[in-house]
Amino acid sequence: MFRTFLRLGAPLAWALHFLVLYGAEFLVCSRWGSQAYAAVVAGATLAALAVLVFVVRSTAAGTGFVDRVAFALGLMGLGGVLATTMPAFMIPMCVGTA
Amino acid sequence: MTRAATATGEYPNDLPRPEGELERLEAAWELPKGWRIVTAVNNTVIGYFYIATAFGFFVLAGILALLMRTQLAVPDNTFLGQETYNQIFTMHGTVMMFLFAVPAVEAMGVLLLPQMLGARDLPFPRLGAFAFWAYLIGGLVFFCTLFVGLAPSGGWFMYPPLTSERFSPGVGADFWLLGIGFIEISAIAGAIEIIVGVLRTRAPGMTLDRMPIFAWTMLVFAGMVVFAFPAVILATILLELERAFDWPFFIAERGGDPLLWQHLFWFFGHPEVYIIFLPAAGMVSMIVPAMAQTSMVGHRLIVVALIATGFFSFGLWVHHMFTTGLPALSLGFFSAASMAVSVPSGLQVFAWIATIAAGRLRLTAASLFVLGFLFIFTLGGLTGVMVAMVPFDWQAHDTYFVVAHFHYVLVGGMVFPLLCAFYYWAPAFSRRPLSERMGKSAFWLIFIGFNVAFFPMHISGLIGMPRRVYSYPAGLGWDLPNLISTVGAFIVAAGILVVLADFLRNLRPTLTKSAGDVWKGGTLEWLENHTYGARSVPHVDSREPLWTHPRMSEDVKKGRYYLPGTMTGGRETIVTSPVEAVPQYLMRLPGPGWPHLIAAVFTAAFFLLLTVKAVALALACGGIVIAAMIAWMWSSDPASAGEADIGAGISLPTYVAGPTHPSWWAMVVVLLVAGALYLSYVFGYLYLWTVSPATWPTTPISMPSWPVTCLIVSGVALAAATRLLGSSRLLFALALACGIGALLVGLALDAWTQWQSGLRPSASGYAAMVYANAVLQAQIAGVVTAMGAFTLARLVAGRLDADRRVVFDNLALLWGYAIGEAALGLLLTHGFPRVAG
Repeated sequence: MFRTFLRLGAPLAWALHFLVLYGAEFLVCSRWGSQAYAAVVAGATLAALAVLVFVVRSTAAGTGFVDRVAFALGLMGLGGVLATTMPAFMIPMCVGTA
Repeated sequence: MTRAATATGEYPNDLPRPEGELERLEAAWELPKGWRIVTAVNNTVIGYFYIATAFGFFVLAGILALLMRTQLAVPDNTFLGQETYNQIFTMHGTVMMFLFAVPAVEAMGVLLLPQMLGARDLPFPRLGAFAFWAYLIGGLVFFCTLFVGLAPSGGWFMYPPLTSERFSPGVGADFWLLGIGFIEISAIAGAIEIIVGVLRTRAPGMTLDRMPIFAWTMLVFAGMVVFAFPAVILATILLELERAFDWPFFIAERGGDPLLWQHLFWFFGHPEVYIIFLPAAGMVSMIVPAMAQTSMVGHRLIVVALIATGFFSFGLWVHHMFTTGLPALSLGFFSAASMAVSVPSGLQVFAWIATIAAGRLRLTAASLFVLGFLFIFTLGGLTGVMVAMVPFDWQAHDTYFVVAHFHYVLVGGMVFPLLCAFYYWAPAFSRRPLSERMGKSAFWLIFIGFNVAFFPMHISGLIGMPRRVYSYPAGLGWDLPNLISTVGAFIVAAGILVVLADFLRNLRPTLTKSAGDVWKGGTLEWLENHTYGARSVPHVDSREPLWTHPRMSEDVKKGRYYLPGTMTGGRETIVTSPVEAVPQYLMRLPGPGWPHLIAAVFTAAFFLLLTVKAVALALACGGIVIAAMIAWMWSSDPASAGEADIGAGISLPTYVAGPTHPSWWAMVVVLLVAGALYLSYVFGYLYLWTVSPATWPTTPISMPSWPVTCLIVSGVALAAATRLLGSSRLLFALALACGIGALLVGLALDAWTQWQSGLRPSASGYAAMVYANAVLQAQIAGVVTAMGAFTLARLVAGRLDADRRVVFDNLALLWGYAIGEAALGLLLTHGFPRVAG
């Protein structure tokens, strides 16, 4: 039962990833600089993508309601993580956080 | 079409039903007569009260809007003074958001969900009634502050420093902080009821896949309330502490930061938009298929969109803060999330359009409101994407463009669907449907009036008119758009008057003889309903059971399905498993009573008296609240009445404990609320460190070993009490008392250690945060202590043992959480300065 709800919570990976990227910009940039922050962004993004790819792969073949919904949420989560990460490639890091 | 009733193809119960069965059921659910109806707890009665109250606040806030529009109709107007205008726009926003929008959708949930899910009632009727009465009394008193000049005037978002003691002396801001904080708690109580109700009281066979979209939206809505509202509750606690005791959380020169308020407020405030919109969208998703007489296109995709919207909406809060000087990359993250949320929102819009295209839409008043909703909400969504672009937002921020945008979103996304819902569902709860002719007239007045009122605001905003101005000089190009907006506002008011006239003429609420299924809907709320819901609880094997089984309504009425009478002589509902809806337990429900009502009245009094600093009277009210709650809870865990046969050979227990019991789920939701509140605090603590690290100690006080020891002792005692409940009453009581005592001593020692080190809460933002931690821990520990005393009292009274243990199970959950939160608090307040120093 809890596994079911956990699978439906695939966007939680997006939420945690979002929180880490935003929170770390203040906490990491002010102390360790942009390189450390870039490492945090890369690590968090890879971890989130790994979780979401796992969810998508493990539910892709399922035909039940929970599997199909979890699959679609996984895809939407992937889109969300990529959209959130995109600004990190386009905007300078750690500017204005001091 | 098939007559199959259960998975085995048989009806759960045979006909004819035993003599007197229906009469006993009716007697169990009989309503109090006359004025004693205020003690009723049925979802239908409370639902009627709730909706009427919410709509009443809508009308009141609408009148305030007309006053504002009259003031702004012409330049240099003196109809309202500046302070009065400030109070009126603050109250308009606050009442619309807190006293109308959220309660209205919650009310629709309370009224519709049990019927739609095939339950006799929601699982905690007294909690729902308590939430309603607290909201009504708190809301009325809060609104009345306008008439005595005590209303807040800092805007519905109450930004400090404007709302600090220095710039807003008096009690206006306190009324907002304590009043709204209290009403938020009532909303959370409703959300708990809805979450557990949706997950645990569905009709047998109603799997998650077959659950109506409205129930899905209410589930997501309630989940969002659980995570969003604690942030603003924390914000109100902190601002009230600052105003009352000079703890400088938001005072920049003393290590606080006013932007912390904005973060906390908008972490609630942005999801709030979706909290309002999603249930309204759920209503539309129920109405469109019925009006088009075809199943919803993309049912599963809509569920996906709802869940995704719920999550994504939490990543948007900073888009209300694009002009506050945050780093560019941060703005980029939130801009990206703001764009991302339009994907699931758009999915729903396309699904509604596809459903309309797939069927034949009857052009009723309800359908017109749906079409109006689609038009207006989509326009609001498009301007939403515009303000999600940072450079555009810098230009449009705090102008009337934003006022136009959010009214298109909120009125289009919530008011139109709500009016649509009134016209659609009235026949299910009224002896007569509402008038189609009046409904259509009202629609055109409101639709045209709305666009006349709010479209020109885009223009007045783009040519520079700021929000929240009580007057403006002539010759700036704002005169004509404002005059047009005012005319439009009065046209909307005329439309609302038509709706009210229709209510007066045709709405005849009933609990027995409704007009019935005039739209040929497919879901269970269209069964013949009474105070006890349907006569028997159907087995559900499709998303539109009334379309799949056209005879279901008759069969349900005859009592052929589950639970056609009362098995224990009282009120009951079937509790099913959360995913597959397999019957697990027959839950006995409470009937009418006074304690929850007394508790609500005096809880409201407690908060309001605190606002005017009548501390002694407030404490007396607090004592009455505790007494009422004890009386309320004392009968809430009745002993087993044996097994009950609900039909189809299914025999259900009448007593369960642990995760099968709905109250266990409710407690888990409470813990999520508490956790969300504490995580908001952790965010605030870390945030203040990032903006003013200089106020953090360079030499932290020594690690407190005694508090840590106390927490360990408390944890061991909790484990011991869990084991001892079945074996030794004395040792159990000892473990309970010692464990909770150790928790209290540990927290007190930690606060004492900080005090002894010379740290004072008014010294800096850091110090205030340290003591705020103590306040939050004390709140939880206080509840654990009260529950512990209650548990001991039940033990002494012989109402607690190894089998009858729900009260202790719930205490154990909260107690364990309290230990965890206290440990995290120690780690944060003692550990973080070491890392950061």
